[in-house]
Amino acid sequence: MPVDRLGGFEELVLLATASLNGEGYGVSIQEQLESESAQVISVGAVYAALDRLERKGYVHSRMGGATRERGGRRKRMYRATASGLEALKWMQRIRLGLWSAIESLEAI
Amino acid sequence: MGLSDRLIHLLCDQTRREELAGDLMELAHRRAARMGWGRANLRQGFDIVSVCVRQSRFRGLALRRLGIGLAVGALLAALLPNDAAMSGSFTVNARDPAGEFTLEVEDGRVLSATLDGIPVSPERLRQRSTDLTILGGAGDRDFSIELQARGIRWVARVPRDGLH
Repeated sequence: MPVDRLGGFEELVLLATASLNGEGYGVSIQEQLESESAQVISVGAVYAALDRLERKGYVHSRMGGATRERGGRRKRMYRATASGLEALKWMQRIRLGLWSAIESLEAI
Repeated sequence: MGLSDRLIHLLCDQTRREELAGDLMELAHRRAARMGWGRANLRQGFDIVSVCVRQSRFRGLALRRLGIGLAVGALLAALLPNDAAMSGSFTVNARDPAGEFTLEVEDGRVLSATLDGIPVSPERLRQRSTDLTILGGAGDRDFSIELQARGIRWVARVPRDGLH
Protein backbone atom coordinates (compact mmCIF):
# COMPACT_ATOMS: atom_id res chain seq x y z
CA MET A 1 0.00 0.00 0.00
CA PRO A 2 1.40 3.44 -0.90
CA VAL A 3 2.38 5.68 2.03
CA ASP A 4 0.89 8.87 0.58
CA ARG A 5 -2.64 9.22 -0.71
CA LEU A 6 -3.21 10.12 -4.32
CA GLY A 7 -5.81 12.82 -5.04
CA GLY A 8 -8.10 12.50 -8.04
CA PHE A 9 -6.38 15.15 -10.13
CA GLU A 10 -2.95 13.97 -8.97
CA GLU A 11 -3.83 10.50 -10.21
CA LEU A 12 -4.68 11.87 -13.67
CA VAL A 13 -1.48 13.93 -13.82
CA LEU A 14 0.55 10.91 -12.69
CA LEU A 15 -1.13 8.74 -15.33
CA ALA A 16 -0.40 11.29 -18.05
CA THR A 17 3.20 11.57 -16.85
CA ALA A 18 3.63 7.79 -16.88
CA SER A 19 2.09 7.52 -20.34
CA LEU A 20 4.58 10.07 -21.73
CA ASN A 21 7.43 7.82 -20.58
CA GLY A 22 9.93 10.41 -19.39
CA GLU A 23 9.03 12.94 -22.10
CA GLY A 24 6.35 14.69 -20.04
CA TYR A 25 6.66 18.37 -19.12
CA GLY A 26 4.14 21.05 -18.16
CA VAL A 27 2.79 21.71 -21.65
CA SER A 28 2.71 18.10 -22.89
CA ILE A 29 1.03 16.84 -19.71
CA GLN A 30 -1.55 19.64 -19.80
CA GLU A 31 -2.30 18.98 -23.48
CA GLN A 32 -2.61 15.24 -22.89
CA LEU A 33 -5.11 15.84 -20.08
CA GLU A 34 -7.12 18.35 -22.14
CA SER A 35 -7.16 15.99 -25.08
CA GLU A 36 -8.37 13.00 -23.04
CA SER A 37 -10.88 14.87 -20.89
CA ALA A 38 -12.06 17.45 -23.47
CA GLN A 39 -11.99 19.98 -20.62
CA VAL A 40 -9.97 23.13 -20.04
CA ILE A 41 -7.09 22.34 -17.66
CA SER A 42 -5.00 25.22 -16.33
CA VAL A 43 -1.29 24.70 -16.59
CA GLY A 44 -0.91 26.13 -13.08
CA ALA A 45 -3.01 23.28 -11.68
CA VAL A 46 -0.77 20.79 -13.49
CA TYR A 47 2.37 22.32 -11.97
CA ALA A 48 0.83 22.29 -8.50
CA ALA A 49 -0.06 18.59 -8.85
CA LEU A 50 3.42 17.78 -10.18
CA ASP A 51 4.99 19.56 -7.20
CA ARG A 52 2.90 17.49 -4.77
CA LEU A 53 3.68 14.28 -6.65
CA GLU A 54 7.39 15.07 -6.54
CA ARG A 55 7.26 15.72 -2.78
CA LYS A 56 5.55 12.35 -2.35
CA GLY A 57 8.24 10.70 -4.43
CA TYR A 58 5.83 9.61 -7.18
CA VAL A 59 7.57 11.59 -9.96
CA HIS A 60 11.16 12.60 -10.55
CA SER A 61 12.13 15.71 -12.53
CA ARG A 62 15.21 16.83 -14.43
CA MET A 63 15.94 19.78 -16.68
CA GLY A 64 15.63 18.94 -20.38
CA GLY A 65 16.47 20.68 -23.61
CA ALA A 66 15.63 24.16 -24.85
CA THR A 67 13.82 24.94 -28.10
CA ARG A 68 13.38 28.07 -30.19
CA GLU A 69 9.62 27.87 -29.60
CA ARG A 70 10.36 28.38 -25.89
CA GLY A 71 12.70 31.32 -26.41
CA GLY A 72 15.71 29.12 -25.62
CA ARG A 73 14.40 28.12 -22.21
CA ARG A 74 14.74 24.57 -20.92
CA LYS A 75 11.89 22.25 -19.99
CA ARG A 76 11.51 20.44 -16.67
CA MET A 77 10.92 16.85 -17.69
CA TYR A 78 8.96 14.49 -15.43
CA ARG A 79 9.07 10.72 -15.13
CA ALA A 80 6.92 8.49 -12.91
CA THR A 81 8.98 6.69 -10.28
CA ALA A 82 8.58 3.04 -9.25
CA SER A 83 6.58 4.11 -6.19
CA GLY A 84 4.45 6.33 -8.45
CA LEU A 85 3.61 3.40 -10.69
CA GLU A 86 2.91 1.30 -7.59
CA ALA A 87 0.49 3.99 -6.35
CA LEU A 88 -1.28 3.99 -9.75
CA LYS A 89 -1.67 0.21 -9.64
CA TRP A 90 -3.02 0.48 -6.11
CA MET A 91 -5.62 2.99 -7.24
CA GLN A 92 -6.50 0.82 -10.23
CA ARG A 93 -7.09 -2.18 -7.94
CA ILE A 94 -9.39 -0.12 -5.71
CA ARG A 95 -11.36 1.16 -8.68
CA LEU A 96 -11.67 -2.23 -10.33
CA GLY A 97 -12.86 -3.75 -7.05
CA LEU A 98 -15.53 -1.08 -6.62
CA TRP A 99 -16.63 -1.31 -10.27
CA SER A 100 -16.97 -5.08 -10.03
CA ALA A 101 -19.24 -4.60 -7.00
CA ILE A 102 -21.45 -2.28 -9.06
CA GLU A 103 -21.50 -4.64 -12.02
CA SER A 104 -22.47 -7.58 -9.82
CA LEU A 105 -25.38 -5.51 -8.46
CA GLU A 106 -26.51 -4.66 -12.00
CA ALA A 107 -26.43 -8.33 -12.93
CA ILE A 108 -28.98 -9.18 -10.22
CA MET B 1 10.47 40.88 -22.00
CA GLY B 2 6.75 40.07 -22.37
CA LEU B 3 4.08 40.51 -19.73
CA SER B 4 4.08 36.84 -18.72
CA ASP B 5 7.88 36.91 -18.35
CA ARG B 6 7.66 39.98 -16.13
CA LEU B 7 5.01 38.43 -13.88
CA ILE B 8 6.92 35.15 -13.64
CA HIS B 9 10.11 37.03 -12.81
CA LEU B 10 8.37 39.12 -10.17
CA LEU B 11 6.20 36.50 -8.53
CA CYS B 12 7.65 33.02 -8.97
CA ASP B 13 10.44 31.17 -7.30
CA GLN B 14 13.81 31.81 -8.94
CA THR B 15 14.50 28.10 -9.43
CA ARG B 16 11.27 27.62 -11.44
CA ARG B 17 11.27 30.73 -13.63
CA GLU B 18 13.00 29.22 -16.65
CA GLU B 19 10.64 26.29 -17.19
CA LEU B 20 7.50 28.28 -16.30
CA ALA B 21 8.31 31.12 -18.70
CA GLY B 22 9.28 28.61 -21.39
CA ASP B 23 6.08 26.62 -20.98
CA LEU B 24 3.93 29.77 -21.14
CA MET B 25 5.71 30.92 -24.30
CA GLU B 26 5.31 27.49 -25.90
CA LEU B 27 1.61 27.43 -24.99
CA ALA B 28 1.16 30.90 -26.50
CA HIS B 29 2.75 29.80 -29.77
CA ARG B 30 0.70 26.60 -29.97
CA ARG B 31 -2.58 28.31 -29.18
CA ALA B 32 -1.92 31.14 -31.59
CA ALA B 33 -1.55 28.53 -34.33
CA ARG B 34 -4.86 26.83 -33.66
CA MET B 35 -7.11 29.41 -31.97
CA GLY B 36 -8.21 32.90 -32.85
CA TRP B 37 -6.13 35.73 -31.44
CA GLY B 38 -8.72 36.75 -28.84
CA ARG B 39 -9.34 33.26 -27.47
CA ALA B 40 -5.63 32.43 -27.39
CA ASN B 41 -4.91 35.61 -25.43
CA LEU B 42 -7.74 34.92 -22.99
CA ARG B 43 -6.43 31.42 -22.30
CA GLN B 44 -2.95 32.85 -21.92
CA GLY B 45 -4.26 35.33 -19.35
CA PHE B 46 -5.83 32.51 -17.31
CA ASP B 47 -2.63 30.47 -17.49
CA ILE B 48 -0.48 33.37 -16.35
CA VAL B 49 -2.74 33.88 -13.33
CA SER B 50 -2.91 30.17 -12.49
CA VAL B 51 0.88 29.80 -12.70
CA CYS B 52 1.65 32.95 -10.71
CA VAL B 53 -0.83 32.12 -7.95
CA ARG B 54 0.08 28.44 -7.60
CA GLN B 55 3.82 28.88 -8.04
CA SER B 56 4.06 32.12 -6.09
CA ARG B 57 7.11 32.67 -3.94
CA PHE B 58 4.96 34.69 -1.54
CA ARG B 59 2.76 33.18 1.17
CA GLY B 60 -0.13 34.36 3.35
CA LEU B 61 -1.45 37.91 3.26
CA ALA B 62 0.91 39.01 0.51
CA LEU B 63 -0.63 36.41 -1.76
CA ARG B 64 -4.06 37.98 -1.39
CA ARG B 65 -2.69 41.42 -2.26
CA LEU B 66 -1.00 39.96 -5.25
CA GLY B 67 -4.29 38.48 -6.41
CA ILE B 68 -5.59 41.94 -7.33
CA GLY B 69 -2.41 42.74 -9.21
CA LEU B 70 -2.56 39.43 -10.98
CA ALA B 71 -6.14 39.99 -12.06
CA VAL B 72 -5.05 43.24 -13.66
CA GLY B 73 -2.11 41.45 -15.24
CA ALA B 74 -4.38 38.78 -16.67
CA LEU B 75 -6.71 41.40 -18.05
CA LEU B 76 -3.82 43.15 -19.73
CA ALA B 77 -2.59 39.87 -21.14
CA ALA B 78 -6.05 39.20 -22.54
CA LEU B 79 -6.52 42.64 -24.04
CA LEU B 80 -3.09 43.69 -25.24
CA PRO B 81 -1.73 42.27 -28.48
CA ASN B 82 0.22 39.09 -27.94
CA ASP B 83 3.80 39.76 -29.07
CA ALA B 84 4.41 36.16 -30.06
CA ALA B 85 1.14 35.88 -31.95
CA MET B 86 0.69 39.13 -33.85
CA SER B 87 4.08 40.75 -34.22
CA GLY B 88 5.97 41.11 -37.47
CA SER B 89 5.00 41.84 -41.05
CA PHE B 90 3.60 39.56 -43.69
CA THR B 91 1.82 39.76 -47.01
CA VAL B 92 -1.15 37.57 -47.90
CA ASN B 93 -1.78 36.55 -51.51
CA ALA B 94 -5.07 34.69 -51.77
CA ARG B 95 -7.69 33.70 -54.30
CA ASP B 96 -11.33 32.63 -54.18
CA PRO B 97 -14.07 32.34 -56.87
CA ALA B 98 -14.53 36.11 -56.92
CA GLY B 99 -10.88 36.78 -57.69
CA GLU B 100 -7.49 37.46 -56.18
CA PHE B 101 -6.70 39.72 -53.28
CA THR B 102 -3.67 40.70 -51.25
CA LEU B 103 -3.19 42.14 -47.77
CA GLU B 104 -0.12 43.76 -46.29
CA VAL B 105 -0.13 43.28 -42.51
CA GLU B 106 2.20 44.74 -39.90
CA ASP B 107 1.91 43.97 -36.17
CA GLY B 108 -1.71 42.96 -36.60
CA ARG B 109 -2.71 46.08 -38.59
CA VAL B 110 -3.66 45.94 -42.24
CA LEU B 111 -1.62 48.57 -44.06
CA SER B 112 -2.95 48.06 -47.57
CA ALA B 113 -5.01 45.72 -49.71
CA THR B 114 -5.59 44.98 -53.37
CA LEU B 115 -8.54 43.34 -55.15
CA ASP B 116 -7.67 41.78 -58.50
CA GLY B 117 -4.43 43.73 -58.48
CA ILE B 118 -6.15 47.08 -57.94
CA PRO B 119 -5.21 48.94 -54.74
CA VAL B 120 -8.10 49.45 -52.33
CA SER B 121 -8.37 52.99 -51.03
CA PRO B 122 -7.65 53.27 -47.28
CA GLU B 123 -11.16 54.69 -46.74
CA ARG B 124 -12.60 51.30 -47.69
CA LEU B 125 -10.55 49.42 -45.08
CA ARG B 126 -12.29 49.09 -41.72
CA GLN B 127 -10.44 47.16 -39.00
CA ARG B 128 -11.62 46.38 -35.47
CA SER B 129 -9.16 44.21 -33.58
CA THR B 130 -8.70 41.12 -35.78
CA ASP B 131 -11.77 41.74 -37.96
CA LEU B 132 -11.17 43.48 -41.28
CA THR B 133 -13.91 44.64 -43.61
CA ILE B 134 -13.21 45.86 -47.12
CA LEU B 135 -16.21 48.04 -47.80
CA GLY B 136 -18.02 47.28 -51.02
CA GLY B 137 -18.32 49.64 -53.94
CA ALA B 138 -19.16 49.56 -57.65
CA GLY B 139 -21.36 46.49 -57.32
CA ASP B 140 -19.13 44.66 -54.84
CA ARG B 141 -20.39 43.51 -51.44
CA ASP B 142 -18.52 44.11 -48.18
CA PHE B 143 -15.74 41.57 -47.79
CA SER B 144 -14.97 40.32 -44.25
CA ILE B 145 -11.65 38.79 -43.28
CA GLU B 146 -10.42 37.57 -39.89
CA LEU B 147 -6.74 38.10 -39.14
CA GLN B 148 -5.03 35.27 -37.33
CA ALA B 149 -1.56 34.89 -35.88
CA ARG B 150 -0.18 33.15 -38.94
CA GLY B 151 -2.57 34.02 -41.71
CA ILE B 152 -6.20 34.92 -42.36
CA ARG B 153 -9.61 33.25 -42.45
CA TRP B 154 -12.47 34.24 -44.74
CA VAL B 155 -15.59 32.85 -46.34
CA ALA B 156 -15.03 32.37 -50.06
CA ARG B 157 -16.85 35.03 -52.06
CA VAL B 158 -19.17 34.07 -54.88
CA PRO B 159 -18.13 35.04 -58.42
CA ARG B 160 -19.19 38.50 -59.49
CA ASP B 161 -21.72 38.57 -62.31
CA GLY B 162 -20.16 39.10 -65.70
CA LEU B 163 -16.62 38.97 -64.42
CA HIS B 164 -16.13 35.28 -63.57
